[in-house]
Amino acid sequence: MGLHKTFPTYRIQTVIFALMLQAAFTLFRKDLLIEFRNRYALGGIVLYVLSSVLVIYFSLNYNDSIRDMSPVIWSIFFWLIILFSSINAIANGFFREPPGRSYYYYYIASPQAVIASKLLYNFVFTVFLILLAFIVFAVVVGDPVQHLPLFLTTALLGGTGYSFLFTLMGAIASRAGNNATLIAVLGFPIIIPILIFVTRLSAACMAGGAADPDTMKNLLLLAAFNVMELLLAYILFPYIWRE
Amino acid sequence: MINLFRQQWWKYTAAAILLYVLVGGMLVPLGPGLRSVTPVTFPADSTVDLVITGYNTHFQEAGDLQVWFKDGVSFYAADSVIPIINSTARVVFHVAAADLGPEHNRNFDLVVNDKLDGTLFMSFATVAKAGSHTDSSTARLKAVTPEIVNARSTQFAFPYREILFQSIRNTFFHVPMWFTMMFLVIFSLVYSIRYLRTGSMVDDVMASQAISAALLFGVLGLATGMMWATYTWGSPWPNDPKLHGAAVGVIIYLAYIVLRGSLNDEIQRARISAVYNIFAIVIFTLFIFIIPRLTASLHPGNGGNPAFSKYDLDSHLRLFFYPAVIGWTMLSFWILSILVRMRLLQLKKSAQ
Repeated sequence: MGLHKTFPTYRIQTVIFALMLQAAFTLFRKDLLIEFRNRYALGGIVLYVLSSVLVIYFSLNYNDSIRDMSPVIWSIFFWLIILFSSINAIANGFFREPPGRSYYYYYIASPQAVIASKLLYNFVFTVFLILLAFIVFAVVVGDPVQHLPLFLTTALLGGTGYSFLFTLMGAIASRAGNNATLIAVLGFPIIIPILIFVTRLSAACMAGGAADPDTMKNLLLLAAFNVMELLLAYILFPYIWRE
Repeated sequence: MINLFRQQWWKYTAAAILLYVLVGGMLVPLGPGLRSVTPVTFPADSTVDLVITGYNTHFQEAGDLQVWFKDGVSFYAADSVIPIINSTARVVFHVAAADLGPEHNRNFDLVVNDKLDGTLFMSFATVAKAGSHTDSSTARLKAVTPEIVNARSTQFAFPYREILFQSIRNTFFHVPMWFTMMFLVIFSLVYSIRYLRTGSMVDDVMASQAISAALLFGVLGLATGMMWATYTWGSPWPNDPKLHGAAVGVIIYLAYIVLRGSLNDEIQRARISAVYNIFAIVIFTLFIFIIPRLTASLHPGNGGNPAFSKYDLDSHLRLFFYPAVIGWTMLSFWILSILVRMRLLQLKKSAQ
């Protein structure tokens, strides 16, 4: 009874939530540490981005169309590279875990902590990939971006959308025997709305791109999409996690 | 639900309703309409013979055929009207060059009225252009007030629409396919949520078989839509957000089937596919609500087009359209009931 007086329910929930966040940060640090210790995986993904940009650069250059590439085509190529490299990176992150380790996590952390750490880690990684791809794109293919703050906002929101969606799909696919095709099959149809938003938004912040009157609306819709994904991931992940 | 699936009465009702829709929807004739006016352009300052061709009209039988040329809000009477046969009439009309205005041409809509067909209308039917004088009929146009004998057709018929023609009957097949698909998808969502709460295998069977049935109707909806689009919009796959939503929906649910196939453990398959189903339907719903607002659409009720209920769906179409929606939905649940009972029997057999 005394405990109830000093600790009302909402405070207990706050404490539980704080503990969950702490566990999530610990798991996030662990993921980051593994990534840096095993630098081949990181180097592999960096090389994946580099070689995809080169493939696009050469296929455009030897057809004499790199000079007259429109902002829309630029942003479609850019976001498709991000699509493929982030789906690969996130899939690898899930497949790297040995099969038995999930039992261990099951004992030390709540499913919410696990999904929060995965979402955070994949978000950071995807934003890193976007910035990397942008630098490489700007150097090799050309940099038509004029409104940099808008582009960075788009990159942040688009990276959130990509990483959240592929994290949940990766979690599903990791249950289905780590089938790499499955993430793409499950994720691609539902990534289309985000792809439409990010390509429109990034084309709008480029020289020669049409000034889009819907830019603010599109940013808000993209943000709403991300919140929706976050909520669904938070609610549904425990069902995927349970053995 | 399983008890309802075992009962027979609603299956007979579904068959009866669909028979009514098929017979009625195919046999009710198309209402009268105007097909063409030749020549499309004619010179001013000369008396021209225009030939009006109608479809299912009664120009001769009615005996009181009247023809006007309409420009904006003004009606101009034809000089003379001679019905040749029921579907063809000769009309003499002339426009003075002085009436053409600064652009040297003038568009006319055609309005035809008789007591059997009611009032028929064709927009931009014919154009008068400045040309060589052939005779001296330079009388100026005089606006008249039309005297309508009977505004509506007396036949029991489906409306005649410019680009739809007989394909308007596809309303009873194409549109209910999508209604049915959406009902089944929502049904599946409800049972997926129920599965996550109860963990009962029957709920999983319901959810997964509803997706199979929804896919069947989705593919049929695409097929009927592509046939319809070929003849009305000129291409089987026009650039239209409704089509994009439909294609994405079908692919999402094909991915659902693939996901189920790649999970071996029965309980894990049920749980994880339920999660994917909920996630997919939320994203899909957002998609089909948001995307049509980003671009224009050819479909009625989207991108500034009036919805079916505005005027496309008249009372005669309604008599068959609503039963068609009910009938196809019931048929889909009949198919679903067979799929569910079959799957439950398979589960029972494999458990033994």
